[in-house]
Amino acid sequence: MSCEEARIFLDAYVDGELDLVHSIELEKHIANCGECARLVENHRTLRSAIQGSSLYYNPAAPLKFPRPAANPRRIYALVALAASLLIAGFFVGRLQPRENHVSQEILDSHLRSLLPGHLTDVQSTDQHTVKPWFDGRLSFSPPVTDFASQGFPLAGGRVDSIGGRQVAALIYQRGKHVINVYVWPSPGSGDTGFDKSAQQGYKVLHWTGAGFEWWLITDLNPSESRDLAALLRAAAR
Amino acid sequence: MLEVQDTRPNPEALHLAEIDRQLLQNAIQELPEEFREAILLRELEGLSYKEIGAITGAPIGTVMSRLARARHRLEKALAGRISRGGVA
Repeated sequence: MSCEEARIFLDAYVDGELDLVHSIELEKHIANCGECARLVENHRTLRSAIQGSSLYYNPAAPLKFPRPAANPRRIYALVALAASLLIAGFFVGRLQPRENHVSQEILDSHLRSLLPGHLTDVQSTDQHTVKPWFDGRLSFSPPVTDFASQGFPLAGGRVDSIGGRQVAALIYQRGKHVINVYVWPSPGSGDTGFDKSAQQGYKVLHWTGAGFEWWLITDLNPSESRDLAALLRAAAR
Repeated sequence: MLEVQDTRPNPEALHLAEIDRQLLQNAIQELPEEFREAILLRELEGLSYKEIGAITGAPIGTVMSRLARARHRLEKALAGRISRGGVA
């Protein structure tokens, strides 16, 4: 396991949410990598600091809820808190575009999706199953096309979050390679060419077309990723 | 060659352990709402990613990303000297 991979999995590991296989791989890596071991230690120290800081009784200003100990009503307070934070977060997210972080978020999301059980929310090779699945989960209907006959079968779909907005993630496969395609509306933007970049060995293609913003990420070779991008662009027209 | 592992706590971790409460509260208060929500539900309530996702209505991938970013910001704000490559 490389440091890049290890750092994606560190939080899940510290939180006890990483599967056994990845945990063992990560532990092997940490045993030989002082820098990653230090990050794990810092996460754990931060946890003890938060837990030992009596924050429970001194919440930050927006979190001022009465906290009755072991009271079932506590859950309502939590839900109310979550709702208010979500609404506030929504507007803050709207006000602060983080375009320059999109590419990093795409990579993070792609790596997380490769964790067991995280790739698809709806697993189907049928575009007529995947497309309606997004109805009610997103405020838009993403273009979904299966390219099995061209060698890029659709594997399913997922709702993900990029730059603070809910986006559609379409998953294609080519052999054992996984391709994540992120789509969200970009009204008013014209069609652009493919903007190519590389992130830690993964190829990233970005373009706008058919009123959507598209991001494709994969470890496939550049010409194959471009082939899929061209198919997606043509099908969305 | 015999490899001996240094098991002493590293300076950054020690620094974090000695952070006073006010500094930590300030750093948490400065987090964007959705990051603060995720880290508090995780560290104070001890909720799983799935439970946090259910409460906040965020996909699990988003919960993971918010936690990672919250920790990154807190550790940066608190220790100052902690550098973390890779995940921004």
